[in-house]
Amino acid sequence: MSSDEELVRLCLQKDREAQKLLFEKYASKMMGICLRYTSNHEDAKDILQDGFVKVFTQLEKFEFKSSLQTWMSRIFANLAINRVTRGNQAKYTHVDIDEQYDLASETTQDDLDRWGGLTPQQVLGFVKQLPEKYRLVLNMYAVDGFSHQEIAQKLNISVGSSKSRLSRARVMLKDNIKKS
Amino acid sequence: MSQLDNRFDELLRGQMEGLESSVSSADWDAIVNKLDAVEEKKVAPVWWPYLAAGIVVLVGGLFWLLTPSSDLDSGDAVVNQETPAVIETPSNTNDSEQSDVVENIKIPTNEAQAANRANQPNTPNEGTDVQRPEPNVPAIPVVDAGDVVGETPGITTPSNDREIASEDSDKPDESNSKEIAHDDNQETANPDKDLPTNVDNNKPGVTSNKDEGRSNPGFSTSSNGSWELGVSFTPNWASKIIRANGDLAWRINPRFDEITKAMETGSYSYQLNVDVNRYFGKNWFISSGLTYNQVEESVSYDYLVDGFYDENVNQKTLDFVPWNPSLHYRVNYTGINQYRYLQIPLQLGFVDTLNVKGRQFKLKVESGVQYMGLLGMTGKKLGVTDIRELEDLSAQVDNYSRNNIGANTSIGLYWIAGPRMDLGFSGFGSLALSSIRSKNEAIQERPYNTGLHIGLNYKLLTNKR
Repeated sequence: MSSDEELVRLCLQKDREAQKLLFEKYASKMMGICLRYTSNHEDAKDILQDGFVKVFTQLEKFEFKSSLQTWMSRIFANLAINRVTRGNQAKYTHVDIDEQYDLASETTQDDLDRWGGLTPQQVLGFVKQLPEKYRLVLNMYAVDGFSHQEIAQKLNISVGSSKSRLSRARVMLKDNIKKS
Repeated sequence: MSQLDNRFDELLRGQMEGLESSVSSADWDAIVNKLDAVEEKKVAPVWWPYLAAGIVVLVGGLFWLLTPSSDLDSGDAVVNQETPAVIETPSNTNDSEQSDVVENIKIPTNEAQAANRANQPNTPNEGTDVQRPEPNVPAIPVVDAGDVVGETPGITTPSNDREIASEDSDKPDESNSKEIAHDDNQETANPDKDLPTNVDNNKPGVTSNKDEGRSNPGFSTSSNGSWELGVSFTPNWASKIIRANGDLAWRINPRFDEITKAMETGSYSYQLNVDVNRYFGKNWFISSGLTYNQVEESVSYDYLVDGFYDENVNQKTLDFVPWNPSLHYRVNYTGINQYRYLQIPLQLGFVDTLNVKGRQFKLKVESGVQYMGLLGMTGKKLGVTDIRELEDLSAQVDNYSRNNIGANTSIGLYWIAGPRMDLGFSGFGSLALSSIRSKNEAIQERPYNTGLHIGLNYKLLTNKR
């Protein structure tokens, strides 16, 4: 397997074989990101394809300050967020009454024990059961490392709403696991 | 948030980061198709190399057409065919052959005489009807002065090029020629063309220099073959043309144009030129050299950002996402941006001499292309997509095109201050043909300059035959 540096160098020369190698190396991981944000497989595939097009066309901006996988993950996450929120701004800017306060829902050790015994695919199944606006914030904050400030800017909501949605997403997840 | 909440998030992150899902080869095929479509759009026709090549061919062609051969001035031959005068050219100009010259002279018709008079501004017998001179009278060979100037005593060529006339200072009648040239300039603006150097070989009794295998020593009333080295300093006003890169136009922040027009107020540039001109033919020259061009752009940004535009790659739009008023962002910056170029021009020019009240001037028209190498830049400039933070130009230099090509044209009037020196002004305009921004930028920026060129040219070398 070629190193990332070599792959990037060849991809910058529009080498199709190198591009295919890079696709084969990272496609399944990037598909995982796409699936986290979308509710169906077809949307995830669309994002996957557009994401790789964006990676190949913007590869010259990659400066090896982070790993290639981290850089690509950010591209796919941003693309997925944009796709999910596109046309749904009203839904995301709507301020729910229950978002005005943070739900008191402390995580317990039992929750962690149950959670730790799940496979990634099982976790994904539970995440997908969440309403989109909660799933989005949970993914952005807990998995992809966005700050509440960034989430607020991206989704055009307040920082408080971002925190509330995250808290509510956790409660819903734990409830769903208990019920399963 | 409790530590258990953090632990919960870590567990979730670990499980999600390990999430993989198989993809099919159909996905790769779809990506290849999309990549092909994107790359086809990116391959815009690169037209400027063809323009540059065309200009080089044009300049080369003109050079080939207009440069006289060593023993035949085709331009004069054309003029000669239109001239009814059929006075033979003296084959040599030394004293021993002067009598032969006189013997071979034919009396022209009245019409021809009239034409000849018009074409003989420095003929001492001007104003009389007598065309048959006495031996050793300087007037005789003047008819063919274009061939013999500088060699035949008493024969001069009234030059419209004072510099060259002055270099023929060994000619006995130089001072006279200058006077005549000045007095009769309106009628004999280009006396060389009126003087036969080559005549129709089919006409009986007519000979030509070519027939006799003789070159034209000293025939150089033009600046043919001479070189000029000029130095000039040029302050001028500069502006710019900005337009969207067709493929990437959708990435331009809709406010970019509005802010640029209102807040990038004006530019000035200073050019230091070292030009080398090579003349060929009577009036034409090609010019090249080095130009240091420093463009200074005044910017005064003051605007409020109340949202952000997010890329929607699929639909190729920037979706506006308004911000909470508490997150509004004000940009306020005033400064000077500086761009430094090293330019190599390639010019085709035309120069002619004007005589105004005894003073000689050069009217010079130039047009051509120049290579513009970006040396560096400093300052801050509005970003194309994200307008929250101004781009630091010195850090952005690699995103700008280092190699550019431009075109320019000028028309100027120069006072011929001495045999080798002229001083004057020219109005000029120049335009960057290629965008100074990177090809991958969503905008194309082509600065153009207009200004007044103050030039002092000093001719270092003259290659006279």
